[in-house]
Amino acid sequence: MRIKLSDAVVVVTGASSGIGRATVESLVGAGSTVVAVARRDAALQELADGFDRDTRERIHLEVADVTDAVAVDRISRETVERFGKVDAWVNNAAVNQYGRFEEVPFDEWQRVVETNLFGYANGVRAVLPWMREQGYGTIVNVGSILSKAPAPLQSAYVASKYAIRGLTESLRQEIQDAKDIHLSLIMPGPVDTPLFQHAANRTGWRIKPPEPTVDAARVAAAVVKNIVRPRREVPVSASTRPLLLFTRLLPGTTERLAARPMVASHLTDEAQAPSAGNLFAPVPHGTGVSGGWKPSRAGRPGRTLAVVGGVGAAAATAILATRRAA
Amino acid sequence: MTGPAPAPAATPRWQLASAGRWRVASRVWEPPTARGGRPVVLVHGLVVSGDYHVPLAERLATRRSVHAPDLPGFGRSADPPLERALPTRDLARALIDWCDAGGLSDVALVANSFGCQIATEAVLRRPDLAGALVLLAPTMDPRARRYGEQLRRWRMEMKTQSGALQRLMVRDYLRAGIPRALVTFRHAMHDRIEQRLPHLDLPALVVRGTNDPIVEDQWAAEVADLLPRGELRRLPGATHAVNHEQPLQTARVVAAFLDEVDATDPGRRAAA
Repeated sequence: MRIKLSDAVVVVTGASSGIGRATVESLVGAGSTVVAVARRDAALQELADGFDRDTRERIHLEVADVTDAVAVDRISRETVERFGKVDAWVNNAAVNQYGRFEEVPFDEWQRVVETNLFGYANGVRAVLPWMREQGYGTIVNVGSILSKAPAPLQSAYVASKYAIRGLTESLRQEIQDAKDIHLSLIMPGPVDTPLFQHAANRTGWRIKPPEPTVDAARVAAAVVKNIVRPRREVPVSASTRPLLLFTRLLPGTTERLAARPMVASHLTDEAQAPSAGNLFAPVPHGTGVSGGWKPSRAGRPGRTLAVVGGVGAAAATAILATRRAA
Repeated sequence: MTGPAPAPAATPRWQLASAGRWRVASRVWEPPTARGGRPVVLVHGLVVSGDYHVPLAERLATRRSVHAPDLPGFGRSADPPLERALPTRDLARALIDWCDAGGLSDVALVANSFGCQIATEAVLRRPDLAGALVLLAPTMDPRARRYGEQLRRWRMEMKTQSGALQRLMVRDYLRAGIPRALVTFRHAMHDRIEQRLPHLDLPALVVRGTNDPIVEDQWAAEVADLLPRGELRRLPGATHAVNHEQPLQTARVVAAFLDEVDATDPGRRAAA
């Protein structure tokens, strides 16, 4: 059963900014009917007002917090009652907290896991019965490269993203009997979104994404493509693959060596007062797709290619040298 | 977790009842447990019989009783002589008589295509016949009331039909007879549904499939606007014969609407 984007009904959570917003824009552009879910009414309105009147008919706004299982259930049911089906569900809403585990307020830490992990679980629970009934559907979980590689100063986020991978993989085993229901994990590297401005910050310094970032539209394109052609895992951005490779080949070494550069790449030298960010209540700022982390190096992968090429050449040389020696 | 409704209901029974001068055959589905919702009467379009309502009926019948009559001249109701095609108002009359004969009142009338013209005519003549009205892909768009345009749209619709629907239609056209089909179509062309809609003061749902070449979005919106209590639902990816081609999608939307009407307006039945 192949989903056709122009006929599809798709629910997207975390639609008010960043990857979610870019995904809504991309899907609506492809002719899909989209249910956009987020906490921020004004930001959703702004998103919908960006389209002309006819297109506006295909966007349905739902103001809700994904941690509210009852609300998520209602959205799923009402989507089915309104459009008669739900082709895909994109779990995307996520928050972040920066700071050392020993120092951060634990209620904030729990809130990150609650939103990122329980929010996704709520989504899957709400939509799966309907997909079972109709016999098909695609659930897309937006994970992260941090679903497979660790990072210091964001243990809540990493824990939740690892957990999302666990949820995705074991659930995929459970739905093997429904061959047309698919479950995917998207794993973007650093993305230019307002997530970094929205995050709770207990480091004392202003947070920035590690460079190079990729455009959220690129991640959205991967999400949309995955709805049509579902895959198990979709890494996005060139920088993710080397890190994933090293984490897999040399987990201990990578973990040890990556810690300091990871911290350095996230912190600026600009002091910032501690804050709980958007964890417990949404914040008005940051309603765009981009977080303004421009100029990113998206589209200019020269350095990444050089690094990857260099590592590859070194590895090849080493292998050849070993063979010759043998 | 609030999940979907239970699995489809049992197989239907055939019934034969007299409706005025005609004998009308119909299928009846009784739900496993009666929940007291309005019974559904499915009205077929041109020229198909109640047969193409079966997929939708099975899914609606999980929660309420469902009737799918073959109107006189069509399907198994072959009473009128072959050269005789009843005009829209006589088909509506037959529908009313058939409901009366079966003791059905305050029903949920669910019609497709030309059936919407018959159903609206019936409700106009007998306002207490129905407590809810569902128009699935209602015809006939006044802007397209020309043979050439109808032929063009019908040929486009053919491309959206599944093989199963086409086989069913061929059989039904042969049972009804091509002359009757053509004359009935002429009656449908001259019928002015838009003049009746403003007088139908009952909860009404207009459903349009986004891939329906016969019913354009603009006309579907007008139908919903003309109905005093009409609302429009667009079904992404659905076609013209939604009841046969996208039965689950249609049933979910229709059942939600009927549940809502039953809950907010328990009905004249209860009051009477």
